Amino acid sequence: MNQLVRSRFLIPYCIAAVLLAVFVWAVSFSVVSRDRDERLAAGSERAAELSRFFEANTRVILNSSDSYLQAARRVFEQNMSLNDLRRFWQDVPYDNNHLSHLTVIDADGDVRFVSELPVDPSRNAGDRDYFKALQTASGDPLIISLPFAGRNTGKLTIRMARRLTMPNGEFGGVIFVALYPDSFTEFFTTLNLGPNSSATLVGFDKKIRARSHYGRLGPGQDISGSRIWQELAASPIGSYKQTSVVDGVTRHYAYRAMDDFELVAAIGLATDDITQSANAFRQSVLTIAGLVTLVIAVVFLLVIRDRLNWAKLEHEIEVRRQAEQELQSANADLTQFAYSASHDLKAPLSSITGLLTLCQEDLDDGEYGEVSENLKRAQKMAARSSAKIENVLQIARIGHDEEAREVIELGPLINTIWQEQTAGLEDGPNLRVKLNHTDPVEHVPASLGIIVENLIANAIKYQRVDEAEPWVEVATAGNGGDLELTVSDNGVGIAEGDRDKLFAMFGRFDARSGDGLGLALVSRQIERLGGTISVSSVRGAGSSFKVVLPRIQAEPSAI
Amino acid sequence: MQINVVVVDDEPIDRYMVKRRFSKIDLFNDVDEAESGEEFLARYFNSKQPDNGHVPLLVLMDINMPRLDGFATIAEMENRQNAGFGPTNVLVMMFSSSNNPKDRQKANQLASVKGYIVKPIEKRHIDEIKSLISQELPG
Repeated sequence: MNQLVRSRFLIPYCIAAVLLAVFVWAVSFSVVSRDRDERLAAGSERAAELSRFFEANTRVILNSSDSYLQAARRVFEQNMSLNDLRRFWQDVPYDNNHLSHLTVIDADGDVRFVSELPVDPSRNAGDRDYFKALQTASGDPLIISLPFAGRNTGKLTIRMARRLTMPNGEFGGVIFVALYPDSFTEFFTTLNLGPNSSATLVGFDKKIRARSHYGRLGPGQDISGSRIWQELAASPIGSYKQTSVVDGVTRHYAYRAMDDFELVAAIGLATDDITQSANAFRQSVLTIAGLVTLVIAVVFLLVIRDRLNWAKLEHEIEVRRQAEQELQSANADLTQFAYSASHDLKAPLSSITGLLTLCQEDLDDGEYGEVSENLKRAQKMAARSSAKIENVLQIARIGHDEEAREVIELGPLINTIWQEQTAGLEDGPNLRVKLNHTDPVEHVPASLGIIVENLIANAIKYQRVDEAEPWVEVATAGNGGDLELTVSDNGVGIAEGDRDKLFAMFGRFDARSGDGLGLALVSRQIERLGGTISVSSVRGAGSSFKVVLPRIQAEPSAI
Repeated sequence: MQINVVVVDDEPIDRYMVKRRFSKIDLFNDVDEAESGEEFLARYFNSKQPDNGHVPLLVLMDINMPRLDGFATIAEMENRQNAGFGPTNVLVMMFSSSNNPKDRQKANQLASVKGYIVKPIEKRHIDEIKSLISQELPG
């Protein structure tokens, strides 16, 4: 119970620690979610940027390759000489990172020249789409074919093909350079933007020329079902977000049409890939939050331990301080008692000694007249003195003897005491008893008896001689909790100046006062029972002593 | 000339013993008794200087009494004397069962108090009182 009460002060620390932890986690989650939102919002922009670069990169590769192709064609067409072409190729080699080979096919479709390879005359490419297209084409179109494996090289390449024209203006065959499709998307692969993001180069024929990741959609595949064609119809440059029906991945798309090459450069950034990088960030933030929480918990525990120790120490100091105070008060009591004893306990003994000395002297002088009387006086005094010492001892014993509590019937107790106190009185006061408490009253019978007896005895003793109808009233109140017991009278009352010594040992007021121990005994008994006593009085009109006693026994305090 | 004596004490037996001791000495008139400080003050210090104001008065004053104690009574007595009440020629001796140094110290601080008798009163105390009177009380 005490431990619980003493630990209550820890509550603010618990609240502070929990609030701090909640704050840390709230901030962490907010940072993480904002980061994710920012990354996702930046996704479409990023795709647009990449598509711009994709287009530029594609143009560089296509333009440089076409330049080489046209230069080679010019050299060849001058004399229609394969030797001239071979010399050109040897003198001015192409960039073989992008280009695989240079090939010439004659008007019959026979392959006449493949750079880096001996030519097999049996090869005929007359059936190729690009050949057939250029055979019938007017003007000088550039054909960019789908990627396919070459019959001579076996390599998967895209052909950039142009028509050869005889000096007489007739169709002279086809010349082409073969490009590695990966050349276009290599930059994207290097960026490593995740497994679901891609760069795709697609022709106006809706067929894929190059793609950064060959998955379900490989080179040559037809993607005429893609939404990109609807978007292109509206704008040659644009972006959109869409969840793929093919793989279920949501992507930010950005595309740019290149009308001169009849190609579209498209970038698709998968949100999964974006959030994956956000997830890495989230993981590190939440790890930090976890560590911070751990630190808070450790600090909290250290503080709690410290505070608990401190509280324990404080409690010990308080206990000691109280003990010291009690000791000081006990010392003061003892000093006061010693002083009082030098008067009150010694006085009758002095008187007895005096009387006995007188008797002795009278006996010596042969004057026997008063000896007997004086011896009687000495006896009476000794008896009184003995009773007084007994009362003092009773007070001293309070709190030392464990006494059992019993259920007490207040009515009979009051009546019995009243009978004892008024026995032999001819014209005593009337007793009024007003019991308004609820039973049961459980108390130490002896203690309660002493309290009631002394209060009633005083009320009877201090009646006014001129009062025609003296009375003493004993009233009770209280249901369940404290028991209130009031003893009132219409007697002489107590002077204001006498209130202080009312409950002091040996405090007496006039000849009616006994040994001055009654109310001292009462107040100590009440203190012992954890109760209080208060007095109200009007000089010449009466007094009222009100006792409040807890019915539940308090921890016994040594008095 | 004989000296008036009053014993102020709430204990009748102590008053009785004082009377017994003083009765055999010619120097003193019959011993007067007061049960309390209030009674003593009322009897001796309620009126202006009496005609016999010069007649010496020996007071044996108990300390521990209900209500007004011995010291308070003497303090009040001195007040009244200064205001012109009661006899002037007063010699007070404390008369107590207490031998407590605190009480002796308090007694020393009161100008009127010339002696301190620890009860019970005995023959030797009477001799002390006689010699004290010869020193302190003129006439």
